[in-house]
Amino acid sequence: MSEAVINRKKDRRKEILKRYGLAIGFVSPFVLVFIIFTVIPLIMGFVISLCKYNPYDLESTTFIGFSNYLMLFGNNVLARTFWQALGKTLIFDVVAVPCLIIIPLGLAYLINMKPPGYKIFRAIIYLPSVISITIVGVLFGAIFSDSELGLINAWFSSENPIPFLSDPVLRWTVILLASIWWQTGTNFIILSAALRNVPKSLYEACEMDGGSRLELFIHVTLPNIKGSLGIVLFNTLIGYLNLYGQPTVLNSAINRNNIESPMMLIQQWLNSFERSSLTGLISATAIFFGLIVMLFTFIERYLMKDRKGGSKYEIQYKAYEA
Amino acid sequence: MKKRTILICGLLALTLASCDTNPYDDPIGGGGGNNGSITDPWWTTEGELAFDGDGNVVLDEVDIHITTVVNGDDYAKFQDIVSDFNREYRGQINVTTDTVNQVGFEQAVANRINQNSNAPDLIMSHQKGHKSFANSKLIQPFNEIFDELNIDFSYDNFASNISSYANLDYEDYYFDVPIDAQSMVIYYNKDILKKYSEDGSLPTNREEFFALCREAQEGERKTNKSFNAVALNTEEEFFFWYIWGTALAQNGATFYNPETYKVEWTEPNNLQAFKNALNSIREFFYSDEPISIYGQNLDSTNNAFFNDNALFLFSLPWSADTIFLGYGQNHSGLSESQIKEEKIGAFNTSRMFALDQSSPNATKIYGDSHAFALSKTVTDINKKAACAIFVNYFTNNVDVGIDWAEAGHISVSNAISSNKEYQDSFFVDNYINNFYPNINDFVTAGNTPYFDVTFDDGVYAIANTLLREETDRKDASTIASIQTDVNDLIDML
Amino acid sequence: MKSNTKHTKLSKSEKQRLKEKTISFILLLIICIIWVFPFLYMFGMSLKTDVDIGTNPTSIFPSAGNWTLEHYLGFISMKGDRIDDLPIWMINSIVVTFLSVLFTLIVDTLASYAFVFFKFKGKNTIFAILLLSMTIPTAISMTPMFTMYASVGQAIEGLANNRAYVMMWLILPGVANVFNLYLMKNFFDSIPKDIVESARSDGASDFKIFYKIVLPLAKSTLMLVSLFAFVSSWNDLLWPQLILSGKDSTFQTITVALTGYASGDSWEYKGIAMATSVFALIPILIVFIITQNKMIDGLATTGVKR
Repeated sequence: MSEAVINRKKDRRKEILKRYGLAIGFVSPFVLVFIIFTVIPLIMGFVISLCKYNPYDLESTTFIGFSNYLMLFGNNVLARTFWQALGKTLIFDVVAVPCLIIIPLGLAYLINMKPPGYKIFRAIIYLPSVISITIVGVLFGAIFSDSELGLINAWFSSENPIPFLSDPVLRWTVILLASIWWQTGTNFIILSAALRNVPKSLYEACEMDGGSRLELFIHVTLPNIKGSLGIVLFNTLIGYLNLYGQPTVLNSAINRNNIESPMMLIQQWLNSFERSSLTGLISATAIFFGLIVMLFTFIERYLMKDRKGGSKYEIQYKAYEA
Repeated sequence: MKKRTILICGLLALTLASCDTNPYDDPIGGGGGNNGSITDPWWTTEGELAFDGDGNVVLDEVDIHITTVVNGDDYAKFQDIVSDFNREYRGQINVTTDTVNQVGFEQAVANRINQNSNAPDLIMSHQKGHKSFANSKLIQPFNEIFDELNIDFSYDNFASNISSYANLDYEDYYFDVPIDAQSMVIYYNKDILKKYSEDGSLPTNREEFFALCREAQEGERKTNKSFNAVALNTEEEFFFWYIWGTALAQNGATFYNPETYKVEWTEPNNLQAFKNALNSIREFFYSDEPISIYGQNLDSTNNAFFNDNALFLFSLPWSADTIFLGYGQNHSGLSESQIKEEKIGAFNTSRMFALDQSSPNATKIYGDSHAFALSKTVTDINKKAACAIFVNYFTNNVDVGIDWAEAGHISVSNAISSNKEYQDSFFVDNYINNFYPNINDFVTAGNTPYFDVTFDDGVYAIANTLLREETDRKDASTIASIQTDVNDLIDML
Repeated sequence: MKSNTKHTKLSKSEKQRLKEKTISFILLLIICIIWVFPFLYMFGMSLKTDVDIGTNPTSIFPSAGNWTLEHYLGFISMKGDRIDDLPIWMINSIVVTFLSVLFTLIVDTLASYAFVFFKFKGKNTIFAILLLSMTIPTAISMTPMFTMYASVGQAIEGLANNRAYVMMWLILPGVANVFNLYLMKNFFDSIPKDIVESARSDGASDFKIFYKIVLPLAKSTLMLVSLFAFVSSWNDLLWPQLILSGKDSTFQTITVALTGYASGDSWEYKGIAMATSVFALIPILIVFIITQNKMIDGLATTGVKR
């Protein structure tokens, strides 16, 4: 008897050990690659951010603690540029992020009705997402060129070309249009998959209750695609706080050196040989900016969190199913 | 739990409080402090050279790699010159090249040298970036290898202004071998000019230039409504680099203080010079009788010139072939040599922007200069010798000088420029010499380790912001605010 | 639609459904025309002669007699040695991208399986940390990563110019992708745990379960992740540019090598830029056409099925 118990215990332990071993086996390729190519560089970046560091003059590296971070709150050209750029990006994001959720959601909703040829529509809407930002720049730069040769100017205003890429407000509008065209696809695909996963019977239940389309959407559709909506929002938010590609490629010579977003500041300063003595400071800026992005994602997560209660139809449905 | 939180917060506050609020506030600066003599050389040499009976060096299959900033039509020309060289030195030296775009050139090359990963042996790029290369100990001087090879090198053998920038302020060290110079130049339509200038002669100063332009404009517009005397592309960086730079130079502006490298644009005299330079350009676009339109891009200006809608075209010296071709496409029945000889002439920006024509600055032309520099990663003396031989070949061989001039770059080496064959070659005689009437009037940004900050973010940004304004109402305040940012940054570097 | 109208009597909800379908069809048609338009413009421009681009800017396609392939031929037979290398760039890009996709699939699916179907301490914490790491800009790890790449390359003789070594650095940094992991985990989460549990109690090993049960279920998610990995690897620019700068021409990938052609600011080069863009688009388009239908169609079916 007791031997059997001990044996079973041993088996259990063996089992657990095996399980753990297997788990480690499954995760280890990911973790290994992640550590080498993400964590170590990040740690190095963090250490650098605590130093006065110049890659071309390693001997003069000095540890200065959090001074680099404090610089961001001082009165200096870096702090001025950084906060200004962050402000610009946030203003853009307030418009862009909702656009990039609502438009894909709307399109996914339309597709979910399965009109004739919806598979082709679906492919076309997703198509721009596969091209590179360089090509987006070439395309939208040509369509909205300042020159009278740009398509829109040639069509509507060849006498007096509109400076789409030089005027700040117009340029941001072009950037927004390009972003919508370019990045709707990814969110659209994820959301339309989620929509298809909503059980039909839920809709029917609601319809029977005489719910309107809007009610149906708010009480049935939204709660059921929450998980995907969360992924989409999280990803879009991070992507657009890290705005870099679009303002870089959609540019005229006149705005060449304008810094429009924190990422542009970080990239430009990091890629400037003359500023190599500020590498520590720029690393600190990048990490600090990462913390700001993190803060925003926390806020997003908090807002998306399940409020107790949920949808009444869902509860009803579950009850019915039981 | 709470206690721990308080403790952590307290510790954090303490750490933060103990931090220096501005660790970069160092008046001496890291980058600028390397002037003068070198006590501790950062380069080394290995191996020994073999000489033959005549005292000539013997090299056996030495490969060297050149990274250049040249990447337009002139890169093909550069490759031609390199293959000529390779043919001549077959079995001894083999040169390979690659090109890196202007934007990011310094960073990319510096990184490659510093990490010794794909580092070039020889760098051919704008001289203005080489000061920071030397300060960061990325390049080495040519002195030792020139001595070994008995190459008699001296900056006296080069155009005076250009060579004065090339020594990078390191006494007695030759870090840079200057090659050429380039700036914005002017092409003109000979047919139209003849109508308004009796013997086809060109204006000799700003006043005459404007008078001619206005006369031509008045005359031509009777039959051609879309005529503007000057076609000037303001939408590319070259406008800010070269036209704006020349306007500043001609009006006596000082870009930065050569001692401290800080900018002093708000000094009363300097501010006046900046304002004059701005106004001298504004007169082209915003006066009662403007002679050009602000905001035209390369295509509009080229098209205007090709279709006889402009008398003068401000463009780049290395675009000559494009311009001949474009003009030919719009005027059928002309041979290329006819266009070159009879239709399109060459002119320059000297005196064009100086409000005070009596000033010695009035004839200055501001631009860039390419120079060779030797990477510190080259340690093998045979490699160094190969580099030195190539550099010497490029700056002394007359055929190379002619080829390179045809790519639009005037030679600054006296050995080439004083040569009769060079002077008599068609392109030099008809174009290059008219583009730059006196090479000793040519000025560049000089030697500041903070070129990007001072010029890209400073000098050029001023023009970018202010030239779109029709009046000088905002000039002083804008210049002052940009100056604060630039000096602030220089303090940090 | 016609067949529907034949039925004289439709139920109320069927009528409404029909109306909805019509509306959505019209809306989608309009949107898709707008969506395709930039591609048409790009393709049309790439076939225009330079003169036509300047004189005929209002039409999308070349005017009569101005159709040309010069921009395509032009950059295939570029000056000097560049022509010979185009196939090599293509092969390099295909190899790098293929291996990236393969490794991404292996590494990320294994990890997400572990996160979903194994119980181990700190699972959620680890996952939260992974998610958080997405928020830190990759810019700061670029320099340290390059230092690692260069110093390892230097430490071992001949490694710096070893093709496999360079490729490894092009491929691996993008492999452990948290977003893909997140996507995959999300879909694995929807697979009922009891399937796995019952298979386990039947004595199936985890590898077998993974291989025989979970992977087939997640087929479409794998396709989605493949497409994402393909696109990001193919279009990646900043990091390969850093690594490949100054490397021999035969090391370059097509995206890096062609950037120079696409970045012409002036209209003089718009034809070439467009042709280059079309050219770089072809492989990705092929992959897209192959994967898209299955991927999207199957995407929804990975969900709950009892």
